[in-house]
Amino acid sequence: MSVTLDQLDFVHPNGWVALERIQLQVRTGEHVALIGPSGAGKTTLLSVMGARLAPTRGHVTVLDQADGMQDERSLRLLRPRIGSIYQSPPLPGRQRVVTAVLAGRLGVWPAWKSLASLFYPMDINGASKVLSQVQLSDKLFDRCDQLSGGQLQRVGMARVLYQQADLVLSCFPRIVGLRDGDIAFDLPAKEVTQAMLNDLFANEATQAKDGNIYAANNTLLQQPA
Amino acid sequence: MTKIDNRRDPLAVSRLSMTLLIVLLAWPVLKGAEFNPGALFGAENLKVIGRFLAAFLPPQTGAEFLSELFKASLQTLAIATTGMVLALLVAVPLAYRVSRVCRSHPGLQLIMRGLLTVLRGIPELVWATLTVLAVGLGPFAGALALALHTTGVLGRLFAQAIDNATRAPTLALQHAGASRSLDFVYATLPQIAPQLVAYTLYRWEMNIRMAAILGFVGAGGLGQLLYVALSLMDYPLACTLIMAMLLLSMLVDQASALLRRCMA
Repeated sequence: MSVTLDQLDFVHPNGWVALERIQLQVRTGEHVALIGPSGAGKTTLLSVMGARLAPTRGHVTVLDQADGMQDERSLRLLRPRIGSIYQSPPLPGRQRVVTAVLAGRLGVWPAWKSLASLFYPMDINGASKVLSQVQLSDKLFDRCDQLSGGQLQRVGMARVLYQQADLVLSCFPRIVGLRDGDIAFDLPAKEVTQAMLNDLFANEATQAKDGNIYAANNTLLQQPA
Repeated sequence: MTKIDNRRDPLAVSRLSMTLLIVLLAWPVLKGAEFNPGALFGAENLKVIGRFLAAFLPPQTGAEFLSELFKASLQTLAIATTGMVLALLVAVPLAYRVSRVCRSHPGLQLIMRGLLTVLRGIPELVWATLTVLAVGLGPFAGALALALHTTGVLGRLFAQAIDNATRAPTLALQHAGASRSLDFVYATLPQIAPQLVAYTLYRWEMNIRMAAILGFVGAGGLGQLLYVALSLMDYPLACTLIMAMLLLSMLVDQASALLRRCMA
């Protein structure tokens, strides 16, 4: 399993060239961090990798599915395998944490189960397990709008953990500093990211002691000379 | 030392012209409605109104009559609530199909939007004359008329609410593989639920009052009794009926407020 970007271009509808001639390959088990200044195109790159945006030119092979955005059917098979963690957690305020976390498997659950879960959560145990990995198990039945921003971020992570995705993409904007090859960041938990290191994922900031790091810093994302 | 900024407010001119325009337009509009406050307060007119109102008192009472009244009130309540429930069942899915987030065929969307406009545009009273012809006199005709009109109103309001909901939660679920209908109920609906409840309760209150009026075309309930009372010029009876309607309206308002607080 891997993710391959081959001669990838992406131009926004307004003409802005976000990505140009990107070559990238990520293999199973690798943890990749993209580092770059604001506006460099990191989020665009992750969106293309996550089958959220189709490239303007070039090929994307995600999890052995080439050009996965071509049709509905391949998208439906591909998307449940990709988990995304967003900068601002996309969780409806009035929804309870348990329901929000269980929504991670909507792509694989049968329709009756998905609907039933709205009335009574279908897998309280499963939700509780992933929430304890992010130290939020006591918030299981709280409403999302009762949580702090940081807690909400962790609920978003818990949802991705519950999804059991093959590829995890995440946007963490808070890099505190770069020292001796380690990247420090101010999320509450080394334990949190440890939980996510089991799968193949491309990460914007992570403990990169043993992974490969592609430092974007305008080198990865610029046209090769 | 702070610098003094003597620039003028860039919005001032447009605001002033807007206000003047509205004031200028008020004049022909009032003329069009033959606005004549004097007609209301002239001495002769006040005497006529006074005499008419006096005929309403004292209100009719009497045990047998009051039980009749109670039954009619329940019927009015039933008419309004049935109409409400029927409207909800149709309006929610219709609103989803009509909103911008649903990728229905554009021709189909146009037809459905047209349908909602027609349902909404025809007043309940006119619908009631049609439903009475269709299903005969009685409370069902009233409920049906209310259902038809309310579907149009709620369908439009709900579609707008759906369009205005934030897309991020819905898109996030879509990108994790959820089908469109599932991410609608999981991500969009929780966002707009308070609005939907508020609109529904508001229309329910209005429908109670409308149900009373529909009685005039034979749709049962308090309205029908009122119509009969006025036709027979039995004003004390009419007075009691009007008071019953007011009471019902107040009770519904209270229930509605309670429900709103529970939903918050």
